Amino acid sequence: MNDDRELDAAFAAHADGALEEAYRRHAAALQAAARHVLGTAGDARDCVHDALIRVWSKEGAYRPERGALRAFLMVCVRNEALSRKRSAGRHQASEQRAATATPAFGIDVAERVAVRGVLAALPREQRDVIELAYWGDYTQAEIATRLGIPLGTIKSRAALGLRKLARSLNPRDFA
Amino acid sequence: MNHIDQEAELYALGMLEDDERARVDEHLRKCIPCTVKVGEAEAAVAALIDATQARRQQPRAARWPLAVAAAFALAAAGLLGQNVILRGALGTDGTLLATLVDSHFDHVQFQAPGGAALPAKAIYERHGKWYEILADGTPAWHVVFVRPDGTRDPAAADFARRGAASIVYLAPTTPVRTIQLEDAAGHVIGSVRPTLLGEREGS
Repeated sequence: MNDDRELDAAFAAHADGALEEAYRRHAAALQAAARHVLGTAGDARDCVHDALIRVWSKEGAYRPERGALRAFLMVCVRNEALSRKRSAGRHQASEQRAATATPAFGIDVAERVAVRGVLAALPREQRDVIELAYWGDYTQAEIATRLGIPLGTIKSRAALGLRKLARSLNPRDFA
Repeated sequence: MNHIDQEAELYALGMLEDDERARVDEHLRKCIPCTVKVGEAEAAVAALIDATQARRQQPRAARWPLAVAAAFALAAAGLLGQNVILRGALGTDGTLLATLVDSHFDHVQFQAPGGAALPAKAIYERHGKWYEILADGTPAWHVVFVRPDGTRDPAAADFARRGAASIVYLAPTTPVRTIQLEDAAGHVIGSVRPTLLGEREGS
């Protein structure tokens, strides 16, 4: 399992040691994905562990046709984090932060600004939907309600926006 | 379930509820074309996550030259000291400062009339083309633009609500001097004065 492609195939085949190696290799990125949603390192770590175990216990959940294991796991972890946050009561962490009356957006704003240049290339209506999904953690139905737009329109805007982002977002530009 | 179409992107962006996502997972077990499609969407979201994390993860040695260059660039432009939020971060690695210079965006925190920091900020394009207002866990507020001649331009009503992180994107057609947050009765809760390119703080 020297390179990522080899690890991806081993993970798909449930080979011995593949889960441990995937964790060793991708844990930092996965925890960052979870922390973006959940806010704290401890919650993020728990979320990553649970998501990995969930994926590993479902045979066939990951296949090489899906693309890079790393991206698959990052989305699994993010979805797990979103699920936890939603079931715990939406934006509970935000309420706690507001109660402290301290500036709430420190590093998040820096992150947003860094990515803003990429998102700026999107038409406004697509950007709004992507932002509300990515930074607001809203579901499609919630975004439709917030923007007063039919669900089908939200779906198409999200899809078109992400497809454009996929063409313009090159991870090497941010390394 | 038929082939998924736009659900691929919704899945990857986390816009589906748990039961909707479970239906997609079930379909993917037996459909390779849709699996490929979801994988492409996942790659885009992973790149987005990486992009938001990149500046945190850069080793300090790699950041310093950029930070120093950024400081000189700001000094040359006469802009040092314009931003009150970043002071705490500048002493360590200059990442936020570098981000500012690179991006042509700025951000400023709303302050109450008494000077207290509010959990609300404005991110803005430094030519004044657009402003994005973020508030976190606030009562319902209205956003009001005040133009240089003092005229008021209501921009977003009932913008924020308690317990929710709220975002509104605004692109005014005329220059903005001040952005105010007001309650339903028109009382000013807080304000910011964005500093655009070519301006000095307080001008």
